[in-house]
Amino acid sequence: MCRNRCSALRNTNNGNKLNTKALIAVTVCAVLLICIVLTDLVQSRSEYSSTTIAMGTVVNFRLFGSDGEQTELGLKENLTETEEALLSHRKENSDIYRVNAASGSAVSVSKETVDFIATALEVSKKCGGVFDITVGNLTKLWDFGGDNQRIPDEEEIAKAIETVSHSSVKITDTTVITANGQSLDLGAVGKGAACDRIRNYLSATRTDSAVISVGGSLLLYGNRSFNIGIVNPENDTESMGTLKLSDTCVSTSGDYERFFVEGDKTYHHILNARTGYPAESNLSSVTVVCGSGTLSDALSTACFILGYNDSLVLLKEFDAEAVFVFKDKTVRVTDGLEKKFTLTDESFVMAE
Amino acid sequence: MKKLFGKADIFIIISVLVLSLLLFIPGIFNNNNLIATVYSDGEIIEEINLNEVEVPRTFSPKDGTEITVEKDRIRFSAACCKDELCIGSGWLSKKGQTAACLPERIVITIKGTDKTDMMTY
Amino acid sequence: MKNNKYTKRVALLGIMGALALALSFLESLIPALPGLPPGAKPGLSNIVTMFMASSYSVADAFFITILKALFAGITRGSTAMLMSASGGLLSTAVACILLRSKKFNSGYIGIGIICAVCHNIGQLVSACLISGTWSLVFGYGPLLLLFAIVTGCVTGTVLKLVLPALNRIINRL
Repeated sequence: MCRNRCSALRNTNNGNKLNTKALIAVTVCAVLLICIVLTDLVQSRSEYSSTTIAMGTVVNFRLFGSDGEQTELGLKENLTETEEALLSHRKENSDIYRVNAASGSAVSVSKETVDFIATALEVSKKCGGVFDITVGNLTKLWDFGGDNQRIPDEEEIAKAIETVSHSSVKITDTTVITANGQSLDLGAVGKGAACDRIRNYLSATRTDSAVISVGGSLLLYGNRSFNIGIVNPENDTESMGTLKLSDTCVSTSGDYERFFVEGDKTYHHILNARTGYPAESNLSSVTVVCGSGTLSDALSTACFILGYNDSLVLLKEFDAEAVFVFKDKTVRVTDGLEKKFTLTDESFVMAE
Repeated sequence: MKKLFGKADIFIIISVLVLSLLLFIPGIFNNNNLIATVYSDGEIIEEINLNEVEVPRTFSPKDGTEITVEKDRIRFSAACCKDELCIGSGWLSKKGQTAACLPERIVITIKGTDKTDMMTY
Repeated sequence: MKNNKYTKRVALLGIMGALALALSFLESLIPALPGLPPGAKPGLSNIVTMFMASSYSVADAFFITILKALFAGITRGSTAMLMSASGGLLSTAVACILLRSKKFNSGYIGIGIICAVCHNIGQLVSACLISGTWSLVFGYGPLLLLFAIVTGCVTGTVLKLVLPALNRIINRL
């Protein structure tokens, strides 16, 4: 009985020999396939986030899509290039350095630099010159965050302000001419300009969506919508409200970013180009949302200097939206952002 | 001599698959860990699960710069630069928070998101 | 006669030890795979320890495992040594039990998978101990287990294929 069963078993085994081999092959293939599909799935759906320092500021990446690591490397390179070839006023070969070194004569620069400068000049013109990219000599005097930060003499400021004039900057498709002794400072638009360049770069990668912060100026890329926190001016690790946005650029200017205290007065880094002194404003910060990074960066600075009422006109001209945070902890939002803005910190109130 | 493949092997494969799926599930829901990442020159030099820090410690990624870790929080505690902005950032204890020492090129971030995906400042 | 036996053993350990080291060196050339922790390897050198466990002596299987760990320690540092030792010892122990058990009637693929799983569990546990973060279990665990199925199939199949040849070597020695 037992023997019979054994031999029967052996027979079935022999009979199934081919099947067993086929089974092994199929199982191994299936397992391999599952693993490949799974890793691919995990990779493509996955988020790649990283933080680095570039352009002298903190850069946060959150990339959604494939090849995150590779894309990040490319982005870092792109940022370094933005600084070294275009915007830096310390690197000797950058466009801005060469323009400043040869003030008074025509300097041929890249098309991108011309575009950034054109956008910034446009904002300068429309805001009556309170925001101006020709403030280089002025910012050098104050040197916020540098080794020589101080309150300059009135004479020094008067002298520096003579060189501030956006209308004397002439641009063609490939050249920039500044007036003699004039010095460009693209600090107020640099981070936004970097966002615009990053957007161009991302469109050539396998990134579906991304949110990238270049020192607080944000690029929102792709269809995915993101919750953007607006920093609490009193505590820079907390947010006071959020904006739900997609496919746009966001920039904030505030008096809390860089400042020093002398006597009982606080001097912040946003200079009114007309007076040469930090902008007197009842605002703590302005957050501007619009399609162009350069524009949003320039507008946020201009709006901070202008104050609430004049800003509304300016924003309308450029089809941009904004969130205003006042010193008395009230908040105003332009019409286009009303539904997208949520106040999260209860110590702030919406203004009537 | 044992055979190459049998019914028991199918059982083994299935049970390992089930086990890996079981491990996946808490991985999806248990995302509340506060993981602090410390970068130096763009390279990750340390990843710390702040929830699991029992004994506070201080370490120095570069000369003059010190980072202090406690349960659920992390901060720069010493810096060699003049402005000491990084120390001014204080304790980081929430997802998405970042502190950086720009001169030394050291960044601490807590990965993940609470309610916001990114901050504008 | 006795002398001859020892000579055989030394010779075999030399061959097998060299084979295991060569295989683990080859593996170290494979770059880190996406989604897996750095250091996750196919575990080809497990074939050698599994063979020693099944056809030769348990003690020598462990000897080769320890040799492998020391090799990792010399070439890649103490962390690598600890990882190699923790994974290797656990999987060798399990391999000895399973391959020598008459009751356990699964095939080589099943044993290969279990050994690979044990190897990964050992490494994961020691990685958690070293880094102090137990969340690694959930982060890397699932993919490591799936990976273990693949590598287990490979090692099991290869072991089955080379076993007759290796057994002949032992018999001829």
